[in-house]
Amino acid sequence: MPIKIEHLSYIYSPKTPFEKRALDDVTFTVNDGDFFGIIGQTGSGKSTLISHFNALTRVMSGKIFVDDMDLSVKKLDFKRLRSTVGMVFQYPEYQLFDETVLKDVMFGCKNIGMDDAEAEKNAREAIEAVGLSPEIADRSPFELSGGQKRRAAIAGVIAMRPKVLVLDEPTAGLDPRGKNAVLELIARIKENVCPTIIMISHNMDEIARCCNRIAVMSEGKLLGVFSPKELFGQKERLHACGLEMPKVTELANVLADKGLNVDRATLTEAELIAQLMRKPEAKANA
Amino acid sequence: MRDVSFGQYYPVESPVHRLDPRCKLVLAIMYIVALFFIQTFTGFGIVALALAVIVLVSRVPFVKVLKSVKAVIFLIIFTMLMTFLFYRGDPAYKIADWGIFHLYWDGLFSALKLSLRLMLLVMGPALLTLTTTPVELTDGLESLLKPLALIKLPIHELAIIMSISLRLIPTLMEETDKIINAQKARGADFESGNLIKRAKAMLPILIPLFVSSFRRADELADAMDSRCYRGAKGRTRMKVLRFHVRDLIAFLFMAALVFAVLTLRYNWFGILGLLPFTVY
Repeated sequence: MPIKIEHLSYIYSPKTPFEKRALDDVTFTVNDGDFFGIIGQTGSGKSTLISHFNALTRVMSGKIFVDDMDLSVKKLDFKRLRSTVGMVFQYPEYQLFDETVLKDVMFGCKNIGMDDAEAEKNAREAIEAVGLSPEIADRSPFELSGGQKRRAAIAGVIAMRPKVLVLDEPTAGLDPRGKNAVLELIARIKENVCPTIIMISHNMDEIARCCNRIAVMSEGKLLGVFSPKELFGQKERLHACGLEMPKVTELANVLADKGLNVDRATLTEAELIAQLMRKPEAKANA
Repeated sequence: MRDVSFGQYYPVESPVHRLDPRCKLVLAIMYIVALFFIQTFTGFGIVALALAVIVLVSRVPFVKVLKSVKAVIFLIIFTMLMTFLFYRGDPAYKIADWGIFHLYWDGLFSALKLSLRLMLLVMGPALLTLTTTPVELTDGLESLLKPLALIKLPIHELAIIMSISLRLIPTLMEETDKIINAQKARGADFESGNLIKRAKAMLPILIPLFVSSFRRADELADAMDSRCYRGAKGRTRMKVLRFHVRDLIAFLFMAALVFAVLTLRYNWFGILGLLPFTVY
């Protein structure tokens, strides 16, 4: 169930002094099973782009296809689209409102037409899937801690059983442990609930660690879609895009500069450690 | 929600934009007072012409100014209809009898004048807010109201409350947009259903909005506290307001307008007899 984007452009407040070209002729495809990263500086059009995926922003020019749905037509089955593409915004905990966590998580399910029993079953499963204990279901969402709130908000989206989950900076404002936990959670969701993930992030370590394909945006334009090795393995390309290297890759580069035999496109700690550990053996053989 | 023209600053460079906000406030008051002295179409014509000149000088598109009328269009139409339908005029000018309604020519004219007055009444202040940032406006108000501090009115506090609320309007709008989007993404539907259903559908927006407003207020209070904010005492300004020659020119222009309106109204210098046409 790929998402196809063809020549998508979007202009905010056209024909006024506030006119701003947010998206400029963007074309790419997200395949089934992708963990698709979108990176770029603030104001590069990432958020505008993803808000097109479930028609919160309507197509101005160009085309988008989700499943067999053409999002540029006027009459659109919003319920079906929004249950297909789940959207977790920045600081999703600010969208919590209901008396109990369970009711809040059920909100989306009921909106897309599930009956109470099914909604509750899905909600309880979602609460468990995001790693919250079942007792929390009956507490008020405003009593929870920051990290718990965010999990509850994510549960509210995955309870709708989307086939694609879009996340806008899911780890923003969390401490390192909280970040890790959320990333692990997303990986679990990808495995068990929702096979295709699209994630915006400013953190290159996260992107390098999680994604198999990465779109780079700059000033509303798509600079390209790369694999992590392609993108982070080439300093020049990164600089051209105005991006930083993941910490691990930076370290690998420093080590390589000093003459160690490590791959400059190393993307995870585990990879780097494995390379460093095998070195003495190689020497011994020689 | 984006179409609220009232209170939306239109950022271009113009002599009207550069005027001292205190001056602009006083001019706006003069303009409003003048409007209530007008009784003739000629008078409205003069004021409309003056307003058009100011709009031209301010380089704000006419459409923007006209849009401000949209907010009160129902009020205008309603009062116009009421005046026209229930006017008791001179039987000599009767148009028709419709059951309980009696239509008169002078009723029609009176209704037209009423709507003209309302429209001009809205457009003038709209132009003020289009050419003045909310911050300038509050500064101007604070400065104009300063004498009231003598009778122990907390002018500075009121001004800061006003400027903070004005400052937070766009932020809250943005926040509202975000929350609406988040709930829409969860399949919320704000457009269909009857009135009660729609009111209920607002809850998932209002509750998070309230929660975040309180959070913001707390954070702002902390931020002000930590920068030792203690109210008006001993505070100086970054931008000191000063009158310029252009303010005097603007004042003279408005004074001339008021003078013209009063002259027409009270037939000063026997003006009505001197004019080559009859004034209606």
